[in-house]
Amino acid sequence: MTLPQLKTKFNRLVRELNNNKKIDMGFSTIVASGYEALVLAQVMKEYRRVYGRVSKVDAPAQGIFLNQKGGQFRTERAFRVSFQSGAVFFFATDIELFGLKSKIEKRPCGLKFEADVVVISEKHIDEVLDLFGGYPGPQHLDAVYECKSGKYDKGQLRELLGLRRHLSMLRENFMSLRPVDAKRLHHFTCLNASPAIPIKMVRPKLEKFFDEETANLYDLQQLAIK
Amino acid sequence: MTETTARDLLSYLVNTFVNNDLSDIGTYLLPGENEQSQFAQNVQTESFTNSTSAILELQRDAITRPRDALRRLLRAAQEYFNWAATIPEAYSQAISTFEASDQLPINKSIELLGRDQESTTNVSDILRSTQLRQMQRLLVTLSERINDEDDSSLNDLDNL
Repeated sequence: MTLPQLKTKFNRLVRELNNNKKIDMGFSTIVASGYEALVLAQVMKEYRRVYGRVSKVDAPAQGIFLNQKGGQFRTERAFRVSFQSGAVFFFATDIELFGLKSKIEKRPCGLKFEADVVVISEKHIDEVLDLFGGYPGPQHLDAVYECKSGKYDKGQLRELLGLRRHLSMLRENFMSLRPVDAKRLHHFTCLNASPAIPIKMVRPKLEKFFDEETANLYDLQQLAIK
Repeated sequence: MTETTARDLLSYLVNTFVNNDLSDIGTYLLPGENEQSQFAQNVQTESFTNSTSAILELQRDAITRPRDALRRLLRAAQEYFNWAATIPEAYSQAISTFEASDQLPINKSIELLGRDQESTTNVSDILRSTQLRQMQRLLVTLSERINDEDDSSLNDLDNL
């Protein structure tokens, strides 16, 4: 094979990997979608570690929870997991979230931020659906995960800081190292955020763009999930 | 592979990956978590390298050490595509742990609902595709040929 032929072969493979006729998505976006699904499954496992044995899982209708349009929480596009302890949570992807304004005014209002994986306790579901039109506010959220499967850059921590400010107010009580707590999701305790919603950035491998000191102040955690 | 071929191929691959939205590959050129402690220093010097610039910088390295730069790019691309190919199985394994005999089976493949809310795309199938396996094989074989003295060993790539 000559070098021009080798380039032609690469050209064909790259074109075919990027050519998904049904959807307007390149290969890297397909990978990102697949990664969100994987993170959702691993988050469910982490909830099982924290909340104990699972008594029932209701899978999404037709097995589909990734939604290219997205934004709105719907029970039929989410996993509903019941734990023997009595806790019940919904796990969903690509949900737009109202911010603090909607918590303070107890109504859907203000800007929405999208999050990749969202966990909502069942006790809030009726309010999310009936009053908030499927867009949860901070008062409804049990945990939020941002998936970064691909490019890394230093703006990503700022993005996470923006999400934290969107969802929580901050106290300044705890500047020191936080205790590792096995009862908390991924052993990480929220100390300064109110409401204390766990917010995690999830990556296939950890990177230096995540400043631990800043993240600790804002109750942000970086996780590696492969 | 001659240095001239390595330099030419590297330049081509850098442009192909960056121009086809595959610069996620550059993430695998970045230093890992052990260098997190350098964050403060990096903030002061603004010396961050993001995924895309990590790929582009290889062209500078290729001026003096083309084989080494090509080897690093091929290794990063292998890591990225190999990892992507593991996602369907990793998801299937993780979700299987929630399946009980007294409930409806859970779909083990990852499916995506289209913008029209009717059509679906099977993400797992795309990540298990023949094209992806061919890409993986091509990258491995090219990596094995970098240290060859000439370009004759490229001949049998026809069979991949």
